[in-house]
Amino acid sequence: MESILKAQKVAKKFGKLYVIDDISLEIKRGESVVLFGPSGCGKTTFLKIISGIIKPTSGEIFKNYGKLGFVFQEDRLIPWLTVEENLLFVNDDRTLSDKVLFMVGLEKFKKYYPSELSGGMKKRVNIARALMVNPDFLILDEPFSSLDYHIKIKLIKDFLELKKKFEMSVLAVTHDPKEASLLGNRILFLTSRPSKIFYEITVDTPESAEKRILGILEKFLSICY
Amino acid sequence: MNRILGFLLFVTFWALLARIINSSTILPTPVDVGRIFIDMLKDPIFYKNLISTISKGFMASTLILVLGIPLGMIIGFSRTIYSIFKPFITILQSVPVISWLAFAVFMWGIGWKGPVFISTMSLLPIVVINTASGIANIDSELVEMAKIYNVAKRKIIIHIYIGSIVPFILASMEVVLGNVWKTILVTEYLCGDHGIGVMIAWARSYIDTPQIFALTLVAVFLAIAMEYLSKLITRRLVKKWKVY
Repeated sequence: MESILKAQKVAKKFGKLYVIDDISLEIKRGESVVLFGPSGCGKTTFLKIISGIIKPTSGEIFKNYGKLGFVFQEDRLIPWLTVEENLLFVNDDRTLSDKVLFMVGLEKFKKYYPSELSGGMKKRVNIARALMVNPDFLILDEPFSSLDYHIKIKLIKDFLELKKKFEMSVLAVTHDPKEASLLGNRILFLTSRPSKIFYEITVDTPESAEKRILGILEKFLSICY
Repeated sequence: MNRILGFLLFVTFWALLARIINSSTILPTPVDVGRIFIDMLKDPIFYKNLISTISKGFMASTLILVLGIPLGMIIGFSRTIYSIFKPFITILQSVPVISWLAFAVFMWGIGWKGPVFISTMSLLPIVVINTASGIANIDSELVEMAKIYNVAKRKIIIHIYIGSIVPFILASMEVVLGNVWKTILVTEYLCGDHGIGVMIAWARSYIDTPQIFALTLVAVFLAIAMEYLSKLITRRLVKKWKVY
């Protein structure tokens, strides 16, 4: 399998402080990689480097994807635009926006404003917007963290369907063991300040992966804090 | 219902006070004022003056918004320009209406230009600062989102930048339309040739207090009507921006 993204010895300093130290990572086409670690461990900074918003202090990123979609932690919907207008903001294709809204189950809500939607629905719009660019690579930043448990599980299942349909490779960050084991083929444990890869799990089944995460969680967190 | 009750209470209190003072020069009764108000409504000269005041008000409001919004945007976009202009705006904001008067009278004499100029100068800083803070408060996360998706600059400006300052512009519009009448009236009184302010000046020189009160009523109605008008204009837009 060819790789869609390769990061080599990526490091990032803010002032004198190393936030990220020497992360190397390869994502194959169609693969889902989850970065697992506590809040504030530099995961978001790493995603910003990957998506090209900020430059690393050292190291290199090799990109081999066509279009990048980004699902934001705080949704980042434009409050004064309707659901449909929010999607058209990134791509003017109305046929696609109708199709994507149908896929996430929000076709009846296209004229609604974000403030009129629930947290789960906003997240669906956030995902739908990412799909508007026909992405082959999708980045998810703590995508389901603020949602109620049952909504979260439903949304993750729906998301995995979409992932298959769009044939996307995924890079997700989360601090939730359940989310990590459901989303990933591989789970990389990131320590905090500076962020480093501490451990890696290859997922056979989500259930066994979750158990393995919980098994080393205590030891991992003692290193992090 | 409560509003009507409040209004009745206010009129009763006024009537009582007028009876105690018992001098229509100091405080005329509501009945006197009402009678004069109705007489005034039959007088064509009153309407000529009313139209004069309203057109000055609209002229000043238009000038304030047309100058203030772009100026505020320019200042808001750059921190350097903002800090250069800030003291200038602060000074402008604290200049009393009276101080502009000499300048306006020497420049244009008695007429409509003085009141329009002075009202513009005294309300302009509010709109400039409002718009500038709207720009400064733009959600940088939305801009970052747009950059990740490679959204065109034109779309970012229309949907994120302009969108962010709309509530501030609407707020400015309400403030301007609600307050411009006060400065128009004062400046008409001081350097106008027509208008409600000029009528108040005449009434004062004849010591006609009931007339002054009746004209004040007109000014109050005018301000309320204009505020209502601005709400009417913005109500549709506000639905979209109700998050604020």
